[in-house]
Amino acid sequence: MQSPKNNSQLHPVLTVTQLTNQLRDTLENAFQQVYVVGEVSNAKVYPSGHWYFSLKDKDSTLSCVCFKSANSMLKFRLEDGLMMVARGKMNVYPPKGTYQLVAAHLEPVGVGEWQLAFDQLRNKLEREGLLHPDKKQPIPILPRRIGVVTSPVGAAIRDVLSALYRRNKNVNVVVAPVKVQGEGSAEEIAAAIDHLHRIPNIDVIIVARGGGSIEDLWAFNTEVVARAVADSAIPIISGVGHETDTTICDLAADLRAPTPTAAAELVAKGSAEIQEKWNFLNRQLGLRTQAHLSEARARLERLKPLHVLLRYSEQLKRSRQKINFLRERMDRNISHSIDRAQRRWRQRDEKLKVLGPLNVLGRGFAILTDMNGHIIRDPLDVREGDAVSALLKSGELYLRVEARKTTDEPDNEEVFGDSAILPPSIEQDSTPTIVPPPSIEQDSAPILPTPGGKDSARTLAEDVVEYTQLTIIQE
Amino acid sequence: MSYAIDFESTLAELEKVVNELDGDIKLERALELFEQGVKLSSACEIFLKSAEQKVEILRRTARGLITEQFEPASESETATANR
Repeated sequence: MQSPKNNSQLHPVLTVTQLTNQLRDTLENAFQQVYVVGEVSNAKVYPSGHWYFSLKDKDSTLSCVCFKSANSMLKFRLEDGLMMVARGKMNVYPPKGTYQLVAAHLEPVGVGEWQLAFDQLRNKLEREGLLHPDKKQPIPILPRRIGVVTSPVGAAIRDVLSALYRRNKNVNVVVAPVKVQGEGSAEEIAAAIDHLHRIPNIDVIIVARGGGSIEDLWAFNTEVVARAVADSAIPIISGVGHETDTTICDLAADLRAPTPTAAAELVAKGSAEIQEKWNFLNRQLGLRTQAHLSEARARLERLKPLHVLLRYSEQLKRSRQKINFLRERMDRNISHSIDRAQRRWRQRDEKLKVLGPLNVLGRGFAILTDMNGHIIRDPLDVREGDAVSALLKSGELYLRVEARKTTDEPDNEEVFGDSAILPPSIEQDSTPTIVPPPSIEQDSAPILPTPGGKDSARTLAEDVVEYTQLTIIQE
Repeated sequence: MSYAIDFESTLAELEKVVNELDGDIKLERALELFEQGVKLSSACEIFLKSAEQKVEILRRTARGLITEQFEPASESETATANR
């Protein structure tokens, strides 16, 4: 074994620094531009923004750094397990005696950098639940104002406006103008969404941009836009690029449309449908009421042999014509109908006041009801011993039935509407007996309240006539 | 949103009225429903016809956000502005 002293006599002795400096010069000169492929591990982003990581393969590991100035040009984020080609130069760090690759550029292997960035952002937002179907807000059917975030000079704004007009002429649009590509465009788009929240009555927002390359559409794949869209309190429809383009903005939106035109159509479609639905219901309202009136008339026709009806049939015919006329008018301009309806109600009210049972009570009549509030028209409606109630003008009497008796004679007592009326004389009797109402033919004229046989037909006719008269008055 | 919900519930009520009118009901009830339906229908119409056609553009000014009338550029202007 040779002693160190012998060795040092044969070879010059270097200091650590001298050797390190020589290694550094050699290494750094030899590897000024090198491409190296490996799997990323130990990836760390420092607060300074620099990326520190290792590239490794089966047998070896290489320390790498990618400074902020270089990595800010990259769309994706560094993750362990990614295969990367790094371009850079070798660098020796004397204080630690280590060497590392300073990467000027990184390129993912097997997948484009845009696709990688897209997938990474999508995964991140998915993990946060921002893309979940539960987060989607329904698109309002009838928006008062529509916000449109797009370029004021692009084809997209023209497409959106013409698609809206095509479906519905009465649209109210607020355009929030933005740059849709290039430096600062993502921030402008996010800010525009925020601004529209401060404009009153915006019920839906369309975010639109015409077709372009993935680089052109990139603003719509950024986190700031994705978050603004996902967090928007106003429902957002995204229509970015062509049918084949999917952006993160599309995924974060409440509804995704393939193009700007389609986005506008989705907004307008609802209001066009609702308009049609209203038209339909409006028409049906008239038609079905008309059907009921025709049916009532048909019943009246069947009762014609009763001479008491004859004088009403002509009036009914007139009333039908009137109602037909009314209905057509209503179809043409329904807004006037509300005034008519209100007047009609007022007139009915007055009529009710004059003819109604309460007024009659004031004249000394009483209405008998059973304990369920059903009006008693026939002694057979109650049993002996039943409790009944007599409604007087100023209050109620609670009575018990002692005996019942029916008469076969038709009674000529006046009958008011739906109420069975007791003549005043009965109240002077010590025992409350029920006075028989007019003779009953229960099965005739079932469509209206039926106090009695012949009277039932009369009531039907009167009812129709009353309606007719009212409609005639206000015509 | 409450605006749209009001409208939708009014329309739904109208639909209910029309459906009931379709059933086997007394004439009296039919006329009642008709009156009710006319009111609901008129209320819906007010909603439907209230929007006026208007296109505005948002501007940021010293006073804050304002909206003003917007005239989209014509086809040819757009073509030159875009390329």
